[in-house]
Amino acid sequence: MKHIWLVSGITIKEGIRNRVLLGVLFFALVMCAVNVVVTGSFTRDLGKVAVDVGLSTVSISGLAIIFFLGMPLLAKDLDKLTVYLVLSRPIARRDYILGKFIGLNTLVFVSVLILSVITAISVKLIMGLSPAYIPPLFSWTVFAMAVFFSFLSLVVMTSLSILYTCLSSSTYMAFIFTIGTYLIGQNIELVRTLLKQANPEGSLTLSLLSAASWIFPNLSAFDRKTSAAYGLDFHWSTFGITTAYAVSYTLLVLFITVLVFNRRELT
Amino acid sequence: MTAGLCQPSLFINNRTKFFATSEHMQISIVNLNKSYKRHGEKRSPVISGLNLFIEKGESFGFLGPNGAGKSTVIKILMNFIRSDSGEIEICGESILNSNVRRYVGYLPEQPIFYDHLTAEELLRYGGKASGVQDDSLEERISWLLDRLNLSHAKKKPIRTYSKGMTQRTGLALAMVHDPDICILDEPMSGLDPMGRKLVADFILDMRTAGKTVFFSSHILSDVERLCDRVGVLNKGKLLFCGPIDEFKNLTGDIERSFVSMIENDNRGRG
Repeated sequence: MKHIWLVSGITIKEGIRNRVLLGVLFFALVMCAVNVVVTGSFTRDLGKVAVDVGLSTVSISGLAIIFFLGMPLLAKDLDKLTVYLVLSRPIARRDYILGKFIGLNTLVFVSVLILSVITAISVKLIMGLSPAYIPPLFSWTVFAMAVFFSFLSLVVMTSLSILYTCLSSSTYMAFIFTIGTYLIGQNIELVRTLLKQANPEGSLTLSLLSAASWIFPNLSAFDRKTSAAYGLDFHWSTFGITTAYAVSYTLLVLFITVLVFNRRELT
Repeated sequence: MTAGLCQPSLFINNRTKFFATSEHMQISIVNLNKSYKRHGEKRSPVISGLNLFIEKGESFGFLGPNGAGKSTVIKILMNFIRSDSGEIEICGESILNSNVRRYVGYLPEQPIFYDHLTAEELLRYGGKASGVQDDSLEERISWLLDRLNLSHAKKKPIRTYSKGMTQRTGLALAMVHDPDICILDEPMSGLDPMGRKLVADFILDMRTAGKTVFFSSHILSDVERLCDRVGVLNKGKLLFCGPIDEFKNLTGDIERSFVSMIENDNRGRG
C-alpha cells in the first residue's frame, strides 16, 4: 500500500505543477462567468440553463484534465520510459497502475470540488438575480449528488484512459479510443432505446448494441443534470446502484489494465 | 542487504555445474534467450544462450558494439522486458519478485525524470520507495547531492538541468538507498571530462566499499580503469568473459583486443 501512495504522491505533485491544470481551471472559471452573463439573456428556465451549463462545465473540465493532463502524464511514462525510475524500485507493476489511478483521480477530485464550488456560486448568483425562475423543488443536495455522479463518470473514464494507454503503442490511438468510448458511453443507451421503440421485435443491430452496452460504460446513467436543475429527487437505491456500477466497472477495468501492463514490455 | 536474505542457489551452465552461495554470487543469468518479432517477420534473436555470473563485490564491465544486446540484458535484469527463456536471479531470488530490486540501484542509459520534480524530491521518493528510514534518508540525500556536485541545484526542477546534471541525478537516485548491487547502463555517455571523472570516482568508491558494480560502456579506457572482469557481447552472444588483464593481454591493448574479437566474430558469422 505504501508504494501505491508513493506513486500517487509523485503523480499529484507532477500534475499540480503542470500548467495544463491551471489552464483547465481558468477555462472553467471563464465558463462560469459566461454562465452568469449568457443565462441572463434567456427569458425562461433560467435555473435549468444555469445548472446545465454549470454541471457541463464541471464534466468537460474533468474530461479535459483526463485528456490533457492524465493521459499525457501516463503516456510520457511509457513512451519516454520515465516509468523506469518507478519500476527500478521494489514497486510492483500493479502498484504503479493503482498509484497512477489514485493520483490522477485525486487531481480530478480536487478540480471537480473547486469547479463545483465555483459553479454553485454562479448558479446561486443567477438565481439571486432572477428569483422568479428558481425551480420550486430546487435542492442543493440533489445538485451535490449530480456533481458526485459526474465525478463517478470521470473515475470510470480515468480507468479506461489508463487501460487504453497501456494497451496501445501510441498515445494518439489511446486518445482516440478514450474519446470514442466517451461518445459511445454517452449515447449507447439512448440509441438502444430509440431502436427498441422502432423495432419492438428486435433486430441484429439491436442485439449488437445490447452486446456493446455490456462492454462500454453507460455514461448516461451518471448524467443527472435534469434532476439537479428541477430538484427532482432520485431514490437512494438509484444512487446506490449507480455508485456500485461505477465502482465495479472501474475495478474490472483496473484488473484488466494490471493484466495488460504486467505483460507489456517496457522498451 | 543482509547475507541471510540470500539463499544458496544451484546454477547450471551448459559446460559446468557448480554451486554458488549468496556470499559469492549476486547476479546469475543462465541460458538467457530473447528475440523480437518485428512487423510480422520471423522472430530474430537478440540474445542467444547467455550465461553470466557476477560475484559479490565485483566490478564487471559489459562491453559490446552498438546493438550487441547489452541494454537488452540489463532491461531483462530489471524486469522491464521479459526473456523468452532462461533463469535470472539477483541474490538468489528471481527477478520477477519486485522486492529483489530493494538491493539494486539502476541507472538507465538516458535517464528521464518527472520534469516538475526537484532533485531533492526525486531522491526522497527513491529512498522511501526502497524502504530507507526517514531519519537517515535526509542525511544520505544531502551527502549524495554534495558528492555529485548537485547541491546548488537541489531545489530546481530537473527539467532545467543540463545533460551532465541529469546523468548525475540519475546516479544519485540509483545510489540513494545504498544498494549492494549497482546496474549502470552507459553511466558515462554524454558526460564532459569533469563529469566522467566524477562518475568514475564514484564507481571506484563503490568498488572500494565492496559493492557489486555491473555496467555497460563503450569507453574502453574507463572499463580498463574501473573493472575487475569484463564480458564482451556481440550480436547477442558472449564472446569473452574473464579478468580485464586477460582480455587486455589477448593483443596487449584493450581497444585492439576488443576490435579484433568483434571483427573475428563478424567474419566467422559471414
